Amino acid sequence: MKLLSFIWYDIKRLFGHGKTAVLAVLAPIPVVLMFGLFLAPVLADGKGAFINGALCNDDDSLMLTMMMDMVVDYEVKKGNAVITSVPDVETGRSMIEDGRAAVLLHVPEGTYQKAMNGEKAVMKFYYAPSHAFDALTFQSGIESSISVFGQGIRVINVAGDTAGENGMSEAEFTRFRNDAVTDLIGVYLHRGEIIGKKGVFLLGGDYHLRYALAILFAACAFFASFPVMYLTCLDKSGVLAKRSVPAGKMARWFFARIISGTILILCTFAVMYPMARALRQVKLSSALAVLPGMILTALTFSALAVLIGSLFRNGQSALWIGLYFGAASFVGVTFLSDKAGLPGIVSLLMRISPFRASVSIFSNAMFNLMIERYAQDMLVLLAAFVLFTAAGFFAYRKRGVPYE
Amino acid sequence: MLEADGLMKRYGKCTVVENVSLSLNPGEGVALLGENGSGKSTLLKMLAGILEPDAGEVKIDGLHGKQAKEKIAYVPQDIVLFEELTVTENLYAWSSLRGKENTDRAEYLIRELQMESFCKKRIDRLSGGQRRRVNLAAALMGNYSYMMLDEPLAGIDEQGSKCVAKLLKDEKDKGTAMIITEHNPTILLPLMDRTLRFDGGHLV
Repeated sequence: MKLLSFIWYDIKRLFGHGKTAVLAVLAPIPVVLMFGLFLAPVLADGKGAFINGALCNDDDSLMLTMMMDMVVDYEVKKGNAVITSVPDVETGRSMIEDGRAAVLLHVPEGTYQKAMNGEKAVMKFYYAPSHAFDALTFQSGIESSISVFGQGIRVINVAGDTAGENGMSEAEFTRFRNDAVTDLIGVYLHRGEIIGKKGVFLLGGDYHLRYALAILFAACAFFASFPVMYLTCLDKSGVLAKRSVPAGKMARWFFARIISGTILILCTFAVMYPMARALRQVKLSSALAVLPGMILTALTFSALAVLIGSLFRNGQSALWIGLYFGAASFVGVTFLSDKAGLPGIVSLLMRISPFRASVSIFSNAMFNLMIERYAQDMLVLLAAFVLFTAAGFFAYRKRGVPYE
Repeated sequence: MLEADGLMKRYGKCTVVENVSLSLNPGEGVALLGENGSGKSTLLKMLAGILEPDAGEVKIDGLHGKQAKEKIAYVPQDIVLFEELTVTENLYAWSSLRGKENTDRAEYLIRELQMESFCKKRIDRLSGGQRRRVNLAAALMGNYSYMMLDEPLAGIDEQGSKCVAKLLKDEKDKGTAMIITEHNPTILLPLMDRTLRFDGGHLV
């Protein structure tokens, strides 16, 4: 029998537990609806994002320095951020390594002048993988600030040029520009208050909501793998153990289970994605970016489910362990990953957690694609998939197989 | 030839099988009789390689372990089938798990055990007796020269029992050796060459 036949049989078996499979696939619907109706509005009215960042400003231009200082000071005073100025990139990066900062912004020399000359000004962002959400928040906030500020400066310069052509002196122009920039910064810094938001970044509601939606996606995918976990456990302690099946013959059954589990999880995504799209106006073009992430997430969670299912003799034990493991992982990813001062091993686990990578992929790909971060997360998921598959295969062959 | 020497199995402090030795020649049939809890099923599982003995060893045609196990078809007392698949799919799957898919063998067993009327049905929609017949058929998929059958007629009606008996006789005539445990040996006992009584973990 070919692998395809095994996959087909296994899909029939997974979906043969009709209620379980239907629950796994359709359960996200009420969850997404509840999220959209109740939680999303709360999040949308949320407070500003808290960011723990470092800033390395190598640009000595007065305007940019003034603007950055004011933005940073404003955020710090509002309690939205702790931003530390660092003398060089190395210091900032070591802060990230130590977990003292989530993100480092490096403003290279001449950035302001380039922007004023209409050239492309590139600022670099460095971040720890476990703080990808912070990085996104910080980067978007700074880029938005620079963009608005730059546009304002251009308008002021054009106005100054026009005034100069009409006889304004150099001294008058300088005074005019300084006053205008001060006004510009003042108005910009208070724009949040004008529309009832806290802080300059204006990231609170929407970004939290995007992040929450991504967590919802990843969590529902993981919980959809529970039938895989349960059935694997039943097989290993029952059907496959009670007959004399040679361990070597189980490989096809094992890989068929991972693939059929993947299909089950993808069915969950197929239900969730249109709902999320309706809820948050996710761009249709983002589907292309999300799809590989969905497939790899589904493969990884399916392999993990087979591993957990292979480790336990009792189906209920496997489910309880899966539930606690999943819940702990998602709580960690959601609430702990951006906290500095975690024990080293916990911080490392957060950094390489496939749960974090999965959440990061969805929050990234569905809303604001950062290719570098996307690739990193995909690599983490791929490594986790390989690890879970190898460990799962070992456990699957050993667990419940009569002695040889 | 199957040779068991000094087999012993303990569960905690309770010795279920103690120092049992027996042999089974090719084509020979042995009925293993005994009360409930006497240790028959445990002995059968050790002979089939499903359960590891605490002491002693089993050799089949001079082979141990994995190679020996591949020569044995084991029919467990429990229903051990893929409940969500049909009868035919179960037979195909089990033949693949035991070697290569053998559709001819599956069709032969469906015919011999009179399962045509329900072979397209899922296992979880069959009656107890029907499931028993599929349970037996699933064990007989694959290449083997020894059979261990743990109460193969339990829950099967008279007509079904006759089908099973005929099938086992055919298998035996082809040279397959078998050990059968059965509480009601009237149908299968005439097929067997000898009878062993098992009591308190010993052959008596």
